[in-house]
Amino acid sequence: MHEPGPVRSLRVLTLTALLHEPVLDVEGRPIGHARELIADAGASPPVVTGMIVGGRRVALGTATPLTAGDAVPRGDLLLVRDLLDVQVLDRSGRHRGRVGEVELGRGSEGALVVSAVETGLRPVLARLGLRRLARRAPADRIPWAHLHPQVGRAHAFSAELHDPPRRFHRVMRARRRPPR
Amino acid sequence: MPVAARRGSALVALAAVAGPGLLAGLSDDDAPGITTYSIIGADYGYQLLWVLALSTLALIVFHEVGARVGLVTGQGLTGMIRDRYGVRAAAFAVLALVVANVGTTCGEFAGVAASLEPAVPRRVSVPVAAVGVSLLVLRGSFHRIEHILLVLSTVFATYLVSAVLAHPDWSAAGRGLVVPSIPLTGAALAATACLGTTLAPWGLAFIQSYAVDKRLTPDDLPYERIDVCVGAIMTGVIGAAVVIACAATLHQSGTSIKDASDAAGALRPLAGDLASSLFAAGLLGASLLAASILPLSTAYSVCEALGDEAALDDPFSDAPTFYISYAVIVCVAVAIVLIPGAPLVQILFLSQALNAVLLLPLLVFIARIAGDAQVMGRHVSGRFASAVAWGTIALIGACVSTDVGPRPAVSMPRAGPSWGRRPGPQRSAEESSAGRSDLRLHPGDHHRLLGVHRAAAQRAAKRQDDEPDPAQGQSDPDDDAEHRQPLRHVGHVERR
Repeated sequence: MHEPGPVRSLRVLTLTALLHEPVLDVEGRPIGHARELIADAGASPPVVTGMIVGGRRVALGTATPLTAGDAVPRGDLLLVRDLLDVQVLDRSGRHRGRVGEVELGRGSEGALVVSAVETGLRPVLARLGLRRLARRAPADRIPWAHLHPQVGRAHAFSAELHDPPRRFHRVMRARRRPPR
Repeated sequence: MPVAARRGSALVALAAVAGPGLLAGLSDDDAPGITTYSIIGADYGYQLLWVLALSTLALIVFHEVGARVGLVTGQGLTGMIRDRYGVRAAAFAVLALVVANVGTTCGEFAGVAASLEPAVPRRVSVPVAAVGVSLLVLRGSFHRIEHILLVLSTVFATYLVSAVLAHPDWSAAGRGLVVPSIPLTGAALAATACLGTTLAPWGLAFIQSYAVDKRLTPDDLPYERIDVCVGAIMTGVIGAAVVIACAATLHQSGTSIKDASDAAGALRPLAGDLASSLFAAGLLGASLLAASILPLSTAYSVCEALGDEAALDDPFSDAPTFYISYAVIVCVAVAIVLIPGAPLVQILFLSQALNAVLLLPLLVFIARIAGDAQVMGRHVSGRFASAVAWGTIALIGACVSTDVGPRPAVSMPRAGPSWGRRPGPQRSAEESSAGRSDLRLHPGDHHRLLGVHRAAAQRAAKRQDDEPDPAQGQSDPDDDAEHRQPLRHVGHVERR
């Protein structure tokens, strides 16, 4: 589902590019490809703490496989499942795009953090492999600080129905535009 | 705040919520749909009315599910596909929907042309209709558009009057409605076409997106369910009226038809001028309604897949993708219908094949979403609703695999060009000399491609074999061979 792509810069990593990079163990042997990144939703911005490789959770930096059956802790944010391709709403609840790419950066203590999301046509075309077209396509970058979980109308994951980890399904709100 | 809560009494609230179910249901009674019902009535009489009843139940089930998913998630169908399955799956779905919908929109504009010809030539009627439906959507507000489309839907009442004027045998009609029986020839194809024309992928995409655009909330769900049920039942009743009108007249007299405009003409000596005129007026209204809604459904789907969701109330500057998509679909469809020599039959074949291919995955997807408690919360499908939905999918799958699967694709190029023709005796010299008749598009072409007409043609040919027509003997032998050619690919004959 996600497309291979070069990791162009260590300062600006993108989620979909990272997903197809081989993951190495401490001895440099490939153990597979990441299909999911796990972040601590309690931190702001969310700090990437691990990934899922071949069905196993792997702590970031150590590449140490945890025991099989390790459930995703409550409060963790799965970036593909919970963030990629979800809607962005404005304050009035109107659609303002869909997360096409998740941008990762370095936090204050050097940790990998979710720094922003990108909406618009550009990430869609890039993920479809149409990179030349993507360069000329419009996109909006929304810093993570401007996004807020919002339990809006018809929230598919309202609190009484779905405990954390909370899907950020229709719960992102951008401050970049004033309400109409 | 729910739409219903902003209004006063329950009746007013229902009127405020109603729309998505009515429009999505009634637009399924489009030109190809009327054609299918006409052919079923003319060829099988009242015998297959029970299939229409089952199709109506399937329509209620999946339109309710689609509307519920839209109200709860606030997302349209292709948006949900992207959300759940990624951007590639959404791109594939929307590409297939666009291609299929362009083909079906061609059928709607061809229906407009067929209902007005020969009084108004298609080079006038089709562009005027296109400009009319485009202005309606591009210039109107959401509520004005909805009101005009709902008013346009009232044209379907003409079919009810036509059915009454045809003086049908109501007891036989009632028996056909509740007692399942299978005619010996072509019934599986007819049943599949009936199911396929009633439950269309674009209708499923439309009801979900439109309910979201109308900003209905889960609190509006009880009213929306009524809207869906009323819309689907009206769709079924109108379809039944068409079947009954044709069964009471054309079937009784042994007249076989090729499309809905043929039915309108054939009704004149049997049921009177008024019934015939009402039938033709209904076809025009049905074509216009579907020609408005199909591009709208496509535009919603494109925008949702691209993550650029738009609403009918948005100005062009806020939603260029939405309006450009709408305009492109209309322009391409009009151009295809008007350009001489365009491979209309092949385009319609592709669109119908894509609709058939798309229908099952979309139904599976919708049923899975509706059964996902994490997404739907307390509005998740219960066991009974899930069983009904999956049972319906299995039934449709069986019909589609029986009808579409075994048909060899290689038969298409050989038989294709003749499917767009009227029979030899009905063609004028001008038509023949202009070369237009080879590519004349009739609403029935859709379902000829799905096989219904081939069964009808086989029955007509059998009658001709039994009672040789002197005029037929003077026709061009090549032309006659072309007309008969599709019979060589009738599924049930080859399977014997």
